[in-house]
Amino acid sequence: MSLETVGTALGLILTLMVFSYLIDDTPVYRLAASLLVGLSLGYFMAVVLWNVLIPHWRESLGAPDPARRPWLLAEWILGLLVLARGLPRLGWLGDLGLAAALGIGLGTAGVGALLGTVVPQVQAGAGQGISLALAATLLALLAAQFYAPPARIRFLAPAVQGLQALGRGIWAFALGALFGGALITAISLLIGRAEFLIQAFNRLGG
Amino acid sequence: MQICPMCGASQPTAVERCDQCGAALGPGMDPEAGRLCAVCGYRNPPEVVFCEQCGARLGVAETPPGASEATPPSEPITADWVSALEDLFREMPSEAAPAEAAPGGLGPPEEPGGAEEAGEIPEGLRGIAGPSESPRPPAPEEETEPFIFPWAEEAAGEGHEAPFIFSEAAPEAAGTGETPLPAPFLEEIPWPEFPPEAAADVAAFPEAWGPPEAPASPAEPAAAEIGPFLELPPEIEGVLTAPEEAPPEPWGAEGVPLPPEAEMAGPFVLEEAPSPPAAPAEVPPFTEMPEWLQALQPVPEEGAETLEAPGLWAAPTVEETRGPLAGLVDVIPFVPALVAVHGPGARLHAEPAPERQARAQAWKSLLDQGLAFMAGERVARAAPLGLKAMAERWLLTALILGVLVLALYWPLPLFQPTGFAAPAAFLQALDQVPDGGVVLVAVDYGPDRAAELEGYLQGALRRLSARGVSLVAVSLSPWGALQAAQIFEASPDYGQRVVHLGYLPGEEVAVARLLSTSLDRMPGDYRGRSLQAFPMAATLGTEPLGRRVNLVLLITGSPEALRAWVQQSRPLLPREVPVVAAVGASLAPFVAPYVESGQIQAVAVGLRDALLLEGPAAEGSPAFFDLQAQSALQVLTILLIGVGLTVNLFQPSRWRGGGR
Repeated sequence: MSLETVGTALGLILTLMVFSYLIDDTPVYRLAASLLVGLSLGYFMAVVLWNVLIPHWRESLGAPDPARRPWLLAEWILGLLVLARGLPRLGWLGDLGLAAALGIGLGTAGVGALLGTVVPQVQAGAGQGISLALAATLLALLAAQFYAPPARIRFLAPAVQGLQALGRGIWAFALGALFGGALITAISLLIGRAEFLIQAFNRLGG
Repeated sequence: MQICPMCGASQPTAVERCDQCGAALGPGMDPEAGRLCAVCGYRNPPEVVFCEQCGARLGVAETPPGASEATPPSEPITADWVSALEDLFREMPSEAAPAEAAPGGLGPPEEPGGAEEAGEIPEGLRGIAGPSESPRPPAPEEETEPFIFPWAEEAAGEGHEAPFIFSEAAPEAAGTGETPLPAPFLEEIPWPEFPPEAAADVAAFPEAWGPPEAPASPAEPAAAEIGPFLELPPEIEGVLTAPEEAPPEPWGAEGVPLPPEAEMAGPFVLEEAPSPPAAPAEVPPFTEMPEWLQALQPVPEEGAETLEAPGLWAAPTVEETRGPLAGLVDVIPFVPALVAVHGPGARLHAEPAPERQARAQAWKSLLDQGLAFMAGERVARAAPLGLKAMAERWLLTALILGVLVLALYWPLPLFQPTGFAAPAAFLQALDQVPDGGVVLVAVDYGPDRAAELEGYLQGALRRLSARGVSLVAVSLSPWGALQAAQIFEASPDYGQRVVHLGYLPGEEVAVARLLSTSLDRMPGDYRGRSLQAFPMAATLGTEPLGRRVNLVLLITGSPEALRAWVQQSRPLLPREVPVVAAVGASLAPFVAPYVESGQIQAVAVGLRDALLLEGPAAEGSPAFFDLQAQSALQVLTILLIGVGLTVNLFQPSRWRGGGR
């Protein structure tokens, strides 16, 4: 029996174990889920070790650019400082590494979101006046009861209620679109698994 | 250190609340304040009437009218039988000021009001406290005759035949508020003389009792301080007055045995005895000694003479008279009346801390569970499905699977694949890459999305490699790196026109760092092999990757990865370099704004576009049946939802009442 056949058989068994959830929350389903989580974690650790840590360690030892070595050394120090979080007395050292990681990450993400999403979107919608997306967002916020008309302008209550109804409709439309996309994805995955099962039965049976 | 006024536990000075009983601590809290329970020894707040520990009624002094000025109610407790015994055994938490207790533990306090709050005599001591149970004499007035105990008169009448063992009766009397009798009164009492045979026995007393002295005169001040009515026998007087002269070693110390008389006499006993010193056997048995006191009794050394006090701590012999145990003695252990231990004595018993008990219970629960966790949390399940609901579930499952299998193998009459158009803009962007150009492929989907997105990677690889376009694959997730490795490793052009850089950590900066770095500075491919060893390295040169690529292809099922690539790549890429995306169907709403803003030039969505990358699906081809199955399942889902809404519309009570 070839390695490919063994892999196919294992895939078939695991797929059937996961599909047993259609019957009930069975132990075999939980076993398959636990196996998936364990393998994922082990794979992640292996990838981080061989694709991140070891290459960076080799680069730190033999960086051709001497000016780059202090930065690589600083990366290692900050990374090792995070491990100090496990020691109660040295936990403050771990905060340095976490602060650097969070500060750099949040700063970069904030700038990236501003320059990469907000500004281009506003620029794209500026030529069309008030964009439809902005109006839909405001209506959805109104529907979420962030605004209630004061008593002195009670005569505007029907108009506000109509606006909120429209916002709720837009909200429902957005949720429906998200649900439709998720459903199409799920159907695509189901088709893929069904084809795999049929092919696996044919291969193992024939 | 400070003493808790409620439980007597020693607490650090800095704490404000006792960690044993929760009572408030502080400089204003007097450790001697409160009322000691005579039964359990618990120190209660001054205002309570019944003990908070055992419920016994706290002692209330029968204060005669006019005596309140002499004995203020807030007078701290200075003497009781508990505090006296505590001084005997130092390992017990102190609840009375040691300085106020006489050395040796039996000395009466000098404060007149000390015995007022001493409380009732415990049950266990009443058997030997006969005289103290008699009604207390009224306060003598100036005109009336001084009160004399009847037994004192009898003893006086019989000459010297009734010596006494004296104990702490004096504070009990003084605690009543009676005015101390003047010395002339003592002179009028016909005190019996001490018998000479008893004086001879005094020489045999241990040194701790003090040196034997001659019988004191009735008018001596020492006798008047101890008791207003009685003259002390000289041997007892020596015990009680010895601390003022030369403090003896405390009982229980090494080499100082505890006199049995003192053990049995108790602090309140004024008892008649046949001869001084009285034989222990003559003392009424002390059968109801509290259990915590029994635990504190001194253990005689090995080889030493055992204290003969059977009535003190030996349980009475019980002989069974009926049943199968008839004739046996002490088969069932004697249970004294005072079984429940409260107060300081209860804390002497070692018990595990609550957190340890909780931890042990958690471990026990975990061990008892075994492998039952695989069976699931049954308690968290909703109401069990009935037969009808179960049949509905099985029917729907069978219907979906049946339609799926049917659509995968049999052409349906209503399905026309010509209505599906290929993603033209997406294919055009791929075709615009010049021959020999470089395409950066971002593979950010895992095995869970492979059925939907793997077609894009395979199709782009075939389409571009055929024109001599080089592909550089990279992933922001380890799972995407795994998927790309499976596809790219199988390519015969790996290293020639295809290379996989693997997983890039740091999602927020990884793309920008990648595009600003040249390939010769990268550590290697996904297996750690040097990129300079591949022929493709010469193609890419030493320029940063962002300036070398001709197209960026995003194949992703994650909105975070999509945003990261768009936000970081667009500012670093030349304007003429397009970014195209192939995303899952669930990401269509997320990618649309970027397409509208022009940040993404073209997009392909879902399995449908992946199946149409090679052109229209011919009837009977695998792509045809896949498209047919997808369409059939979508229509079936829409129908099922519509039927469910219709049923819900006409039978609303079914859902509202069912709680589903």
